[in-house]
Amino acid sequence: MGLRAEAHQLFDWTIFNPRFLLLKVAHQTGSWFVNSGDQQSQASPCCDTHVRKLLLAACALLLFMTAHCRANDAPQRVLILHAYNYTFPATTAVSEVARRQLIERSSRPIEIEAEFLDLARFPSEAHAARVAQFLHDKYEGRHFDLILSMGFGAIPFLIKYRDQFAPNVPVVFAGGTKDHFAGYKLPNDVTGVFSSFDPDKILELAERLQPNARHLMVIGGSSPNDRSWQRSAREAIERRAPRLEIITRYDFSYDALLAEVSHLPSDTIVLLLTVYSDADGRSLIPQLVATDIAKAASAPVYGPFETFLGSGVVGGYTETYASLGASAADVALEILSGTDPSKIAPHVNPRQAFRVDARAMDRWGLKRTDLPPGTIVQFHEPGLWEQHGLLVVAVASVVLIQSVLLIALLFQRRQLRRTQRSLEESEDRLNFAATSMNIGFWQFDRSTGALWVSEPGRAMFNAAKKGLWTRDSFLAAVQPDDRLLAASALEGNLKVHSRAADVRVVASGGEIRWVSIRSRSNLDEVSASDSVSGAFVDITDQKASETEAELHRQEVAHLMRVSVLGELSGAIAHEVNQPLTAILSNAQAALYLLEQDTPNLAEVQDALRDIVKEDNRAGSVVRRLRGLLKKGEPRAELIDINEMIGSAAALLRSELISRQVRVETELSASRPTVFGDSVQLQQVLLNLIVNAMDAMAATPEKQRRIWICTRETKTGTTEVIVSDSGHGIQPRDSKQLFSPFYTTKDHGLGLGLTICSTIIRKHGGTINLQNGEAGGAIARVSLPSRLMLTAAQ
Amino acid sequence: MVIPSPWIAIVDDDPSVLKALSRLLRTRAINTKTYESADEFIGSLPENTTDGLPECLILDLQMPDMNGLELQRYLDDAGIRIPTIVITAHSESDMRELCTAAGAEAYLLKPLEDTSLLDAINAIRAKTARSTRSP
Repeated sequence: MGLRAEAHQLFDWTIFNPRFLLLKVAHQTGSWFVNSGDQQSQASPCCDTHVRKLLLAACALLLFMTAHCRANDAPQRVLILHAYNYTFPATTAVSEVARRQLIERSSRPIEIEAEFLDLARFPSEAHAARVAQFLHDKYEGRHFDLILSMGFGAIPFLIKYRDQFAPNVPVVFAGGTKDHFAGYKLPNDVTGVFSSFDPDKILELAERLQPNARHLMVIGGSSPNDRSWQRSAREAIERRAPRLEIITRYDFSYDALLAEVSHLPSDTIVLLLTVYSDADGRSLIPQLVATDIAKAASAPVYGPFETFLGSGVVGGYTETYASLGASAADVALEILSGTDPSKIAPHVNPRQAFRVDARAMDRWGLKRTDLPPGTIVQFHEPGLWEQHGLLVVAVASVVLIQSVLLIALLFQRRQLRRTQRSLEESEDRLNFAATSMNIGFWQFDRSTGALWVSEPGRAMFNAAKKGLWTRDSFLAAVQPDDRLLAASALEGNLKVHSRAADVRVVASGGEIRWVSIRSRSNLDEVSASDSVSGAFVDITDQKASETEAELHRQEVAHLMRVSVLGELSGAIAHEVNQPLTAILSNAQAALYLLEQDTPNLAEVQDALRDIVKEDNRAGSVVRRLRGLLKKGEPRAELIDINEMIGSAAALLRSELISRQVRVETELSASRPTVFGDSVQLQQVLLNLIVNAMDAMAATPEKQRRIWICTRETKTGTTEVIVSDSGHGIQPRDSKQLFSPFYTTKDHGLGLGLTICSTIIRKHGGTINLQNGEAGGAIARVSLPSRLMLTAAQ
Repeated sequence: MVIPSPWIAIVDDDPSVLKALSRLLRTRAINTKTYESADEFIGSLPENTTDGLPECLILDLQMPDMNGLELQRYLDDAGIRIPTIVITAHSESDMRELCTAAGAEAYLLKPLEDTSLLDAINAIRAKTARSTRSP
């Protein structure tokens, strides 16, 4: 009954374990034909014998054909024998990895059966025999290609009973140390992977973590399997004495042991080996024992198995059951693919390492720095850093970046404030300077017509300090005659970058003020800028000064003319006296003739005609004099330059004769004309001729010569050249000739050439003096021609 | 032998003045010859003889190239004695003295009265007459 119950238990577990569901289906599929044959034989007891024979023959043929066809695809069968039952995590962990690897890596279909011998709980020989008989009965007629043995406990069972249920089926074992196998002679077709149990390494780990330990308690169970582990550990344990006080607890009552370990000194190392049963015969599961002892112990507990980790044990030198299962599966697959098992020697699972439970270490205050190099720390509860390191880094980075940005922004803000303050101060200074100098700033947006004007600027136009200003309101403040000019300056021009226009504005008191509109165009077709900016400058005082200066200049010019004419008074008197002499003589002659009895009237008439002619001549001299002596506003008129030269020469005729100076002229036949003030230009000419005469004072009389030439240049200017045969210009004087009050004459004021220069500049021309190649000085006056002026205007 | 009638030479660079003085003297039956420059007058003088010389020279002081004073000096240097009446618009006394020193018989300012001129001519004629009568 017991065997049936266990078989049923095994069956149920296989059914309801989802991992095995597929295998179960494969198993059922693989069993179908035999069962169908049975069912068929039971279902047709009354059928005809021939028909039955035919059917059986057909079935046999079908079976043969199917078997033949499936020869290469026939599944290979593997029986996994667990030494213990399914509650032992170690064996299930090993078998699970092995099973999965077999299925995944085999080139052929694999059918796996699993059986749990439960030899730990039922170590009796009778149980083993019953299980062997059960397996025999269960798998009778079924061939296995391989047996995979999980846990050392199955090895003695297989050696003894394999032939009973799986004769000559090769065995691959997983687990058990070499020491476990020491007393057994393995058949040639039994090979596998040993577990490596190295108690020395476990104790090395314990000693590194507890360098001050004084006691070593070794705990092991009472089952044969437990004894085997204890034997394996003995040598390593005994090596620790007498440095450590060795306490072994191999035969104990489980409850008493738990009580004892709870009162151990803290400088105790507890080495827990396997405990499959206690002295009372109580069957135990090592992993659960490890959990209980680790929980109860007052000192750290170490063990040789991976399954102990996580139960409170600090750690040990262990392999993973997964790696053991993988290594065993490797060997199994090799054999299933045809390798002779005797050619594969049993070998140790190479994948062992120090493993510790971080939580247990923390519980006992053991330091990670004491761990041997390469120790695998499991169950490490990652700290905030490890758990959310990336997030922490990201957040920290963001915070850092934000902080940097914040600092940068604060710095920038500070800089901005400083700049703003500096700008305000600068603006204040600028405004102060602008106000002091009567300057207002403005900016005009051509697209909107809006006009911004600074306060001083608004004051110039009598506008309110605040409020919107537009082009039209600005122009309304300008004198109507100047509005066109003002609008042109305000609106700017793409071609003219900067311009200025002087306009008149009626001030609040009704007085006229002059404002200069200086504009700078920001108009740019590329940048699409559409604004013009500039400044308003109150130039009323400047205009007044200019007017005053102009009046002074005119006054000085007049005085200079008077002065020149004064110097020439003798010559001029002579020029008047000549016609007067002729007039008087003619008149007296005429009177005398008329007194005669028979007056010669023809002669009288001729004399009178000469009188009229000479009177006109005298009148013309007087007119010229009056023109030169009069004061008044400059008057622009068309001037025949040749005629003006003739007039000047006539006025100076007597003086020239008196000084024995010969005048030669070479006047342009095109009769060049200029637009200007004839009195002023005549003054320039007289000045140049008088200067030339003065320059020739020391020149021998026969060589005194003034040459006056007029010509029109290709550039459209009219040139008047006055050259002499005098001493020329001394180098020291050349740069100062036009400077006020600079004279080379003994009696000169030094204003003649200064005034000449001013007059010519006012006429848009130039004047220069230089030495002639043949000696003497050459004065060259260039004036814009009438046509040029007209075009300019 | 034809005795040439006396005549007076007038030298002035201004043709209007020449014409007017010539007309004035002609109305008083005085023959005149007019010259517009000193050079022209010198060119008209006969060589190596005093015959044909004018009885009087009315000379403008201010002329281009050679002025009246220079002509006086030239004639003096050449040994040509012609009583000279200087007419000028210049009233400076130094010029009057220079002319007198050079042998000018009269120094008349322009515009000149006919009586002054005729008086000066008559005075020269009287002086010339006295000098020709003396042994």
